[in-house]
Order: sequence, then structure tokens, then C-alpha cells
Amino acid sequence: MEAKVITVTSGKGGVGKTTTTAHIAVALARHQKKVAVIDADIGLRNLDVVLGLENRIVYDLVDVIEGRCRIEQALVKDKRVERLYLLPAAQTRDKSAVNPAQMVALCQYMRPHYDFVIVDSPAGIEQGYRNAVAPADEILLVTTPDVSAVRDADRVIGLLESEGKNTPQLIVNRIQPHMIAVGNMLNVNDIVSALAIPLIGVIPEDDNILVASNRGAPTTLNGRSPAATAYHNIAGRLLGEEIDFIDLTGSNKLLKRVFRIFG
Amino acid sequence: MFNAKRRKKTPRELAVQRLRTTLSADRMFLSPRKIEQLKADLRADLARQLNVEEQYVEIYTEPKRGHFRLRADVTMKQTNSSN
Repeated sequence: MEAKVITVTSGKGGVGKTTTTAHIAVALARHQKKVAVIDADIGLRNLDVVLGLENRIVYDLVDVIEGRCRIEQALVKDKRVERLYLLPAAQTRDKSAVNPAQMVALCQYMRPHYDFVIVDSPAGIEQGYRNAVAPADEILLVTTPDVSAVRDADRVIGLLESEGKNTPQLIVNRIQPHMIAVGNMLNVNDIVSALAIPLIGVIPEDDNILVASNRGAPTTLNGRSPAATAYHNIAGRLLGEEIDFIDLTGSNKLLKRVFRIFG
Repeated sequence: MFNAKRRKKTPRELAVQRLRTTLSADRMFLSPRKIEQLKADLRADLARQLNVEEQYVEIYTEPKRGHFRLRADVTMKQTNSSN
């Protein structure tokens, strides 16, 4: 076993990095892969809450880095899904408590024991971001269909390019087909052509995500909501499967057919 | 008369235009003001020889692997031969 290290980042905050990390990790674990997720957002941890594991934390990432415990003691095993483990961030420290070389060493130690190590990056492009992308083999760049989020994603692409990292893959989150249909929202093609990186997933806006986050039970655990399907599709693509993208263009095929017949 | 070209832009079209300008400014390390100046200069140059729709000149960058392509999107005025 040699884990692939995947970092989920965005530049802008609030676009859904943590939600994406949690859902993809659960989806990969449900594909029988052994997955560890690392919350690299030191001082503002949230991945534990989204995964519903907040009450089981004893040690954290900084405890491991500073040698107060072994990594195995800090990892929280999810009881609902086999093969899913969380390494939580410290809540009482800041990003400078860890450096990129330590993150690389940590992931190197974990590689033989997992299929995937997924790192949830904090927002921004400072130390926390640098810690998160340092060990990455692959990077998933999350954005939403608004100018400021796409602009920040473009900035991150430029930084990754200058650091010689692999081209990130794009996830467009919170797409609202009905807004696209009436020309009120950037569509996926607009974003892909602006950023010019490969697309790996499109996630529709879905109320179930907020409910799942509040319950601490990601929809990919057992849900069949549109967003859950989209996250499962991303997991499948990460595993090398060829899966068509869900049609989120806002076009109503049934209506179009009716118009073609009677129009 | 109704002129399709002059219809109000949708929020999506405005967002695409603003995104292009913003990304171009970021990528070229130019201020948006400089880009506007670049547009004005180009428009003036083109208008000397072509019938250009002045408000429909767009300058933007297109990312390619490792570099950017500077592009100008220029809408020409339609000549009405019946006039």
C-alpha cells in the first residue's frame, strides 16, 4: 500500500473545502479504500464537526508533530464506516505550530498504511496553505460560481505552478441549475475556460449538505441526494473510473422535447 | 428598433466580463485602470481603419499551460446596405 496524498484547497474561504474533504473521504472509504483525513486548519478546526467525530478527539496534529503522542493515538477511527480515520487539527494553536517539512514527513510516515491521505487546507495562501499543499501528490481546487472565488482559485493555480506542483483538478461547488438556466449564474464552462484546469467534479447546491453537516453525518455515508451522487462520482474518478458529469446546465430536457414536438 | 447586440447583459454575462478583466489584471500585474487604458488605445487604433462598436471591445487573457494568451474581442458595427 502506498497512499496518494490529496490536498483540498481553494484560496477563498467558505466555498466548501471541508465539506468536500469529508464527503470525498467517506465516499472513498465506502469504495473499500483505507483513508486518513488530516485537518490542516490549525486554530479553526471543523472537519471533526462535519464528520461527527468532535467528541472523540484526545490528541491532535500538533501533539503528533511536537512528539506528545504517537500518530496512532491521535487518529480517530470512524465507527460508521470502515477504514476512515481523522487526524484533527489543534484548536488552541496557530498555523505556525507546523511547517511544510513536518507535514511532508508526517504524510511520508502515513503513506504505507493508507490508500489515500486527504489534507483539508485552510483558506488563504499563507503558512497554513503551504503546510497543506507541501505533501500533496494531487490537488483538488474547490471554487463556487462567483467572481471572487474563481479569482482566488486562479491565484492558487498561479502559486502551484510557480512551486512546480502538478496541475490541480477543479471542483465547482454549489451550482444552481435554475439560476444558470436564466443566465443569473456563471456556468461550469465559464469557470473551466477561465481557469483552464481539468474538471473532476461539479456539485449541485443541495439542502441535504447543511443538514448532514449539522448532524455530523456526511451524505456520502448512505444518502442518495444529488450532492452525494456528485461526491461519489468524484471518488470514482479519483479511482480511475470514467464517470459522466451530471447535467447541471439547467436545461430541462423534457420541456425541450415538448417544445420540439409542439413548437 | 430592437437591437439584439444592445440588450441588457445578463448577470452571467456581466460576471464573465468582470472575471476576464479581473483575471487579466491579476495575471499581467496591471491595474484594471491600465487595462481600461489598453482597451481605449486599441479601440482608438482599430477605429481609425474599422467600423468598431466602441463599447464592445474586450481585452482579456486566456490561460495556456505555463503562459497566457492576450486576446482582443472586437465587435464590428453592422453596415446596413439598404440605407
